[in-house]
Amino acid sequence: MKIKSLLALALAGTTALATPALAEGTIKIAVIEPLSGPLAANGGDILERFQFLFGRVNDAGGVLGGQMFEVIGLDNGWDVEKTAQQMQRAADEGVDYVINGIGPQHATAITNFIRKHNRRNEGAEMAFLAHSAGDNAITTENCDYYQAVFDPTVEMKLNALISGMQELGIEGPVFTINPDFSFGQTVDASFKELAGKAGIEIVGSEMIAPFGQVQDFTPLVARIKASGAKVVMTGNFGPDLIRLLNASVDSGLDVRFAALYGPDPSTMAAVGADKFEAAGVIAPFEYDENDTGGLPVLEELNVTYREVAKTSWGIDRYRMLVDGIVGAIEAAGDAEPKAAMGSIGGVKLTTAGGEGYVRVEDNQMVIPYFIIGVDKAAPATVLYKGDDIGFGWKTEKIIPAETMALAPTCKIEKP
Amino acid sequence: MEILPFVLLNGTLFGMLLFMLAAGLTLIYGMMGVINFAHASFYMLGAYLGYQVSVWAGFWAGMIVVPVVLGLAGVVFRRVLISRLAIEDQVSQLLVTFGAAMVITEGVQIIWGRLAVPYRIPEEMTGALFNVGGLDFPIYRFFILVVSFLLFAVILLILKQTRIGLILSAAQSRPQMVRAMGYDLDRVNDWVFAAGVAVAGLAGVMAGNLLGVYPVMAERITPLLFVIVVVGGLGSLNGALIVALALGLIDTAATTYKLSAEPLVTALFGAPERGTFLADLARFNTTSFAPILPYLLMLIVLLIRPRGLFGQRDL
Repeated sequence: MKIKSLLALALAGTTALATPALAEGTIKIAVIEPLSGPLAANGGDILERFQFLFGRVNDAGGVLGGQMFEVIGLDNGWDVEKTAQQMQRAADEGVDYVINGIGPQHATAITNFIRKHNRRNEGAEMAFLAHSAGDNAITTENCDYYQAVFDPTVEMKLNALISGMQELGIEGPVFTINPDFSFGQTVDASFKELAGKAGIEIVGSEMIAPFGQVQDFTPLVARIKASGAKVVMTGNFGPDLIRLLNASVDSGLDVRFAALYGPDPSTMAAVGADKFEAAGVIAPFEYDENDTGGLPVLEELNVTYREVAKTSWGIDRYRMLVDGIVGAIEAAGDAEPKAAMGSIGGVKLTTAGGEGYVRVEDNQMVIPYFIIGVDKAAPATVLYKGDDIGFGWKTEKIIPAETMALAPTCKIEKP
Repeated sequence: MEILPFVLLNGTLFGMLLFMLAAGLTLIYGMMGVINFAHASFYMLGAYLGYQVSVWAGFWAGMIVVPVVLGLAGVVFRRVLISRLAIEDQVSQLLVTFGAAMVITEGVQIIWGRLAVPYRIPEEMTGALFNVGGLDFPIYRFFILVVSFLLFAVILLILKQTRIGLILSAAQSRPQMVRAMGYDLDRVNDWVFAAGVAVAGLAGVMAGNLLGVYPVMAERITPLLFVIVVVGGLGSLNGALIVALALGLIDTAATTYKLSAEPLVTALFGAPERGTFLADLARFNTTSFAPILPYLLMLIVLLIRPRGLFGQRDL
C-alpha cells in the first residue's frame, strides 16, 4: 500500500512537471507522440520537425497578419490509454489542433475523443491532423469534418508502387512478406488485390511475427528461392527489415526488394549501401532529396535542416501538413478549427513532384509520389542526427497525382 | 528438397547462437543457483561493444577485447549484486537481475541511441563459402558455426577432462564439502560467472552484425533462453545444447516448410468467408505458429518432467 501511494505520488509529480504552460491568444498545436519508450526516437524527431516548421511560419509573421502558432509535445509513451489522457489535457489547455501519426490505435483514440469533445463543447472544437495514414480508416471510412490526413493511404502508396514497378519493368513474380498485425495485414491484402488487377503474379506470401521476434530469416529466403519470385514486396520495418535484407543478400538471393520502409535511416545505416544496392531496393516515397523538382522551399530546407538538426530533411509531408493548415486558416480568415477545417479541403500544396491538394470529399491529401531507388553516388547522402549514412536515393519514377487519387470512399458532412 | 542442406545449416547456426547464450545461463544457475535475468543483456552489451571496438580497431579486436571486458564486468556484477543475495531468496534474485537488465537496456540507449547501429560484417569475411541448392552459404555464417562448436568443445573439455571441471561438478552437488576441502568457492563462482558472461558477449559480437544491434535485442531473446534452460534442465550443458539446436531446427523447418490449415478447413467446411471463425482457423499455419512452439514445448515439459530433459533436480 505504501509503495503504491508513493508510486502514485511520484507519477503525479512527473505529470505536474510535464504540464506545459500555453500562452493566451496563440493558435495551439499539440503533437501527441511517444516521447519516451521504444519509439521515443521517432516521436522526438517528429516533434522537432513540427516545432521547426511552425517556427518558420512564426518567423515569417505568423498567419492572418500576426497570429502565432505555439507547439507543445505531449508524450503518450506508446500507450493508447495515455493518448486519451493527453487528449484530455490538450482539451483542458485549449489546444486547437492535434497532430499525431505513429500507431493507428492512437489515431483511433484521438478521433473518438475529438468527436465526443466537439459534440459537447461547441465553440471550443478541436481538430485532428494526421501526418501518417498507417492502416487506419480516417479518410476511407470514418472521414469527419474535424480531421484531415496528410499522407497517402496504404492503398494509394501501393497503387503508386505497382504502377511504378510496371513502368520500370520490375514486374515479378512477387513474394510478399509483411508483419502480422493490422498494418501488415492491410498492406498484404491491398497489395494482393491491386497486383491482381494489374496482372502481377504473386507466387508466395508470408506474415511474420513483428518487432524483432523472428531472429532468423534464412528459412524465408529458402522459401522465396523455391517460389521462383523475382521481387519481394515487404512492409517490414526496423529489425525485421534489417534481418530480411541481410539474410537475403548474404544468401545471394537474386531478387529486388520493394520495401515500404527501405528509406528509414536507421535501417539504411545498419544494412549498408552495398547490401541495399545488391537488394535493388525501391520504395514509394513522398520526395527524394536529390530531386527537389526545383522547389525553392525544399532546396532551402535540405540545407537548413542539415545545419539545425544534423538530419537531412528527407521527409516532406510534415511541411505539407503545416502548409495545409496555414492555407486553410488563411482561406477561412479564422484560426478556429470550426471555420478553418471547412477550408482545408481544396487547399493547394506545392510538392517536389508537382502540385498536390487536399481533397474536398474526405480531407485526404493527394500528391504526386516518387518511386525511389538506391543511389550509392547520390550527391545528397542521408544524414541522421549527425551520422552520415553514406548513400542516398534517386528518383526512378514520378507517379502523377491523378494516378494517386484513387476514388474517395467517404464523404464529409458539414456540421 | 534441394534447399534442405541450406535449411539445416542455418537452423544449426541459429541453434548454436542460442546455445552460446544459454550455456552461461545454465552454468551460472548450476553453480550459484542464481537465475540471471540480465544474462541476455550481456549479449546485447557484447553486440554494442563489438560495434564500438570495430569502429576503433576493427572486428577482430572486438572478438578478443569484448569477451575479456565483459568477463571482468561479469565478476563485478556478481560481486556487487549477486553475491549479496541468498540462494533461497529467488524473489530478490529476480528483482535485482531484472532491474539490472532494465538499467543496461536504458544505458545502451543513452550511449548509442535508440536506433540500430551500423555494425557490419568484416570485409574479409564477406562473400559466399559455397552454394547449396542455388543459395549461398556466407563465409561469415560458417565462421560463427565453427567458433560456436569450438567453444562448446572447449567448455566440455574443461568440464569433463580437467581438475577445474571436477571441482565445478563437485561444487554443484556438494558445495559445503568442496569448501571444506579448502577450495575458495567464491573465486570459482567468479570464474564461472565471468566465463558465462564472456561467452554471451562473444555471441553478441558475432551475431550483432548478422541480426542487427538495437536496444530491444536482449528483451526479444531472453524468453527463448529460459525455454532452452528449463527444457534442457537447469544446470545441464548437454541439455542446453540439444534443446538449443532443436529449437533452431524446429523454427527453421516450421518456417521453411509451411503447413497450412487452409486446405483442411476448405475440404471439411468449404471456402471460409472473411471475418468468420473458420477463416481464422484457415489462417493457422506452422510459420505463424513457429514463434509459439518453444513456449508450448516448455509448458509440456514442465507438466510432465519438471526437472527438464537432462536436469538433476526439480524446479
